[in-house]
Amino acid sequence: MIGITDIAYHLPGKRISNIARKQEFALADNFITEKLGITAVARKNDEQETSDLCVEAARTLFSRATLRPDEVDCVAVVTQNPDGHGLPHTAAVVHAKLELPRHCLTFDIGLGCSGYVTGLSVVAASMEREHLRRGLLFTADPYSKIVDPTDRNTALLFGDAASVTLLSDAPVWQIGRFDFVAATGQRDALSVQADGLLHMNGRAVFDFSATAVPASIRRTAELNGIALAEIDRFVLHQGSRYIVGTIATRLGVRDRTPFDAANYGNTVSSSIPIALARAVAASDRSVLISGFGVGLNVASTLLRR
Amino acid sequence: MVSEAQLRTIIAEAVPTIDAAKLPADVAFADSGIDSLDYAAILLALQERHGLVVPDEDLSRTASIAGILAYAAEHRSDA
Repeated sequence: MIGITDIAYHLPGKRISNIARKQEFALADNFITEKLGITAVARKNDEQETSDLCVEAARTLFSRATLRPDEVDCVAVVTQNPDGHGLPHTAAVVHAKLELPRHCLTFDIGLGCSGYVTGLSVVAASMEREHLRRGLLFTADPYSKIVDPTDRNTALLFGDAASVTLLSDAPVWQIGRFDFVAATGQRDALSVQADGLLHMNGRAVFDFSATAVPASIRRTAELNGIALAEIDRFVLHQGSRYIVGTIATRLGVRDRTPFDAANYGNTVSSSIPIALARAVAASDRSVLISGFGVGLNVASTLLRR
Repeated sequence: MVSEAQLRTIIAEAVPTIDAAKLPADVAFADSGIDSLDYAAILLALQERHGLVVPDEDLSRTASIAGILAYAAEHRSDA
């Protein structure tokens, strides 16, 4: 079975301080530190493209010597902000920049915060069907391309980053069964509109996240035959400290649910793999992951090792 | 229908840092230290526990304890 063998990520070094912007948005310190939970957001350089962030993450992965580029037979990039104008697909650009083999299956997945979890399902299924052995699932969605820096709803939330997950037939983490949610009638709650900028109805996103995500997590645990009390860690999409805390409190699992994004922000589909790489203990044997947002969608699954 | 006591309980749970029992009924939440995320949590609890749904276009009418109670009374069949 295909599962997760390794995860690497890239966070650009540049940061924009939210604390320094509190007067601009008339916000209290504790709103930034305790509610958003994000004191700074990571920013790519203006000249960096989405594929460049992926390449940086891949270089970290390849530096560990667990994989050579010529062994890769699948490349998928989860992004809603592809290189250039979106054609060709960013996976093709990443494939070329990394000089990966000619026989690679390459495609993009156009999802937001549920994209990593959904991508695990899609890429693992494709690899198993085609008997591929080593695939790279990238996430890179630099929302700095679409965020209005004067919009108090979004300007302090989103950070730029990329991750790459090595999926292989010699996994460290087994991937369990998935639960998916696609809400109807809420597609405008998080959307890029005619002005080319991201617009967010924060209340709609909060209501959806606080209700649909705990339900999805409960279904996922049941699908995988495990009780919530038996799960070592819950790695949720790092939307904000408040929403992660709200979901965890509703499930009664707050002590096992990390918030890791304080110094780099909500990195959309990269938030879960980055948190998996940084906030899961070596002793953790089971981790439930749940991505939620744009769509509005939820995707959840259980990882075991 | 939600009572004032029930509403104050919801506020106390959503915003544990303030004394909900002493919150003036007619002062806007925003002026009482209740931020937009707290407000969203209060509205969600009203919906889940009392069936009171406040559409976005009516939010200006439910920005205080008195406003919510008046709105709930108007929409008695919902709440």
